[in-house]
Amino acid sequence: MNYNYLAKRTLQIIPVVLGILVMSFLMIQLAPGDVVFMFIGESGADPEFEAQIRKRLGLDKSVLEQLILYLKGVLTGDLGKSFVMNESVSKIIWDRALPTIILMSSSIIFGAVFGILIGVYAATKPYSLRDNVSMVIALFLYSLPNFWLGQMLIIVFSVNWGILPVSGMESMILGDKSFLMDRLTHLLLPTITLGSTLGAFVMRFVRASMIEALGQDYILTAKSKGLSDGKIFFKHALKNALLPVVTYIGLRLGYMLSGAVVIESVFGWPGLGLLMLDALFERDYPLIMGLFIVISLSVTIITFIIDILYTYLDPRIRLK
Amino acid sequence: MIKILKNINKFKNFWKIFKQNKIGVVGLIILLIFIVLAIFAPLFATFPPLTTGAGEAFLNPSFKHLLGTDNLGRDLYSELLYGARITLLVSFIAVITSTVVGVFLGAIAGYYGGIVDSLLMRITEMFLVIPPIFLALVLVAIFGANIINIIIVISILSWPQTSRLVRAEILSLKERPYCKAAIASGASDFKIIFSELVPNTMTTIIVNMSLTQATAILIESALSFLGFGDSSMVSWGLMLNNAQEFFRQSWYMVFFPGIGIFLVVLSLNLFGEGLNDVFNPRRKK
Repeated sequence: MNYNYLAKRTLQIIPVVLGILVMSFLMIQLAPGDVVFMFIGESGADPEFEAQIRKRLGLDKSVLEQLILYLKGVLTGDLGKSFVMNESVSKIIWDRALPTIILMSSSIIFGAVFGILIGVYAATKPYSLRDNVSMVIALFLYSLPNFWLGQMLIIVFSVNWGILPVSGMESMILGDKSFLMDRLTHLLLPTITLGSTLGAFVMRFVRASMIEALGQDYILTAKSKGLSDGKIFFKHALKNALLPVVTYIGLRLGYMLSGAVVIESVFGWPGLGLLMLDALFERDYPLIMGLFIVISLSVTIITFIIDILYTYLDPRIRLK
Repeated sequence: MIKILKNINKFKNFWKIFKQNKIGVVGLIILLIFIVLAIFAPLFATFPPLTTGAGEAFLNPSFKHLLGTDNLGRDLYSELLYGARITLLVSFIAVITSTVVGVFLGAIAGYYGGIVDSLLMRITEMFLVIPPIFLALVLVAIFGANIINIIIVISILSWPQTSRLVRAEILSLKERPYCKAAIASGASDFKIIFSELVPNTMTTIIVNMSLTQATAILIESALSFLGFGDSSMVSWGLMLNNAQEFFRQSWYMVFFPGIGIFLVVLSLNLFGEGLNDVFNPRRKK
């Protein structure tokens, strides 16, 4: 492991993290209207009560002081208290994180498997019919608005055929289905919807990466050694072509979480996306900012870990 | 006059190569159909926009109502045509503003390097990790869901990508002899950047615009669908938001606006990739 690289990458993410925090702070500062009125109503209460609320929210201090207090809070894991629910923001987020983690994981697995299989299949014969058809499928999938795909799937599978649940994460009455089966049937459509966009991008990426790997010198060496096409393809080219896919999926995490907000809304999936929408409709600023920070920082940290792992798995990168 | 003739010639040459690219041409044709339909919506529409009770509610497609009617008896076909105006216009203006900002900042960063460049790169990296819809939702919810804010938000989300692309091109272009010659001749930085370097990144910019508009349409639709669009302007996303409650009664209300979004996004992606193949033939093989 190269510690210089690790140190360099760590230094690089600090300004990004600070930037995200400052940005979220500024957004609330710039928001039109005074937050205090959310507590006392527009008509205004007696000035003493207003001052009291202001003090409790820390609004009596200067903007810079507020920023420093805010950064301190976030760095110690304190994201403030929700305006609407009488609970700390970090607890609310923590309680709702699991459904989103489940949905994201299943979608990533689905998208990666589906994308890699078709991508590799297309790369076996570049510019052939199978390649062209695969690429058209990819193009169609990433041109689809995914929430619409979700709605259409609900109409076909849940409303018309009635074989899958319309929304939510679990049934009220379990009936004769097992607990796991119930959860899985609820998970199926959201996973396909969210995973297919990722699958489309992975497909194109794997295809390009495979074709590039097949053009390398070591493939020529393998050929001259008399190895079979299958062995060259799967053992030599595939191994090298698949590594960058991990980084690529990491880069698409932000987009996937974007998609998750919309998909959770379509399927009534009780995760962070739905929580975000509720917070937005109720103008629960601490919760909105908390979610914004937690989500953005999670992506930053996961991308960072993937990056470090990648240099560990592929020594060539360290030299750059 | 000579300049115009030169440009016509340039266009003819471009068209000669572009028309061989089948996917690009298909994309362009679909796109043009939608643009014509949107511009001349009053000519093609069978009912004025937002006419409630043009027919009964939830009618199936017929000769009178080509795509059926919605929950308020509005003619879906006519609504769709007028909706295309909003969807296309919002995304187009957003692409223009984000391109102007992105090209300007990217060119400055690429040319001067140093602190300006690192600062810009850190900002664009920040945008890589922030989920776009989250940022868009937060901004629209805080500052108000109107058409101007939506355009601004989509521009904010789109410029970093343009900026990175232009910066990378300027970095390599400024090492070319013609740029060195311009510097030696004493041209001002402003002139070198905007009349020597930026015009040479035009092909990248145009391809990027077409792909950015595809994304812009998806973002606008998602925002409207989630209920954070401009409720006074019926875009395709808003039609889908409205359809959400009624898809048990009529699947047409969901199906057609979605197909509209899909076809326009697809055509922009096809057109963009076609252009890319024409402008950067090396990339293809």
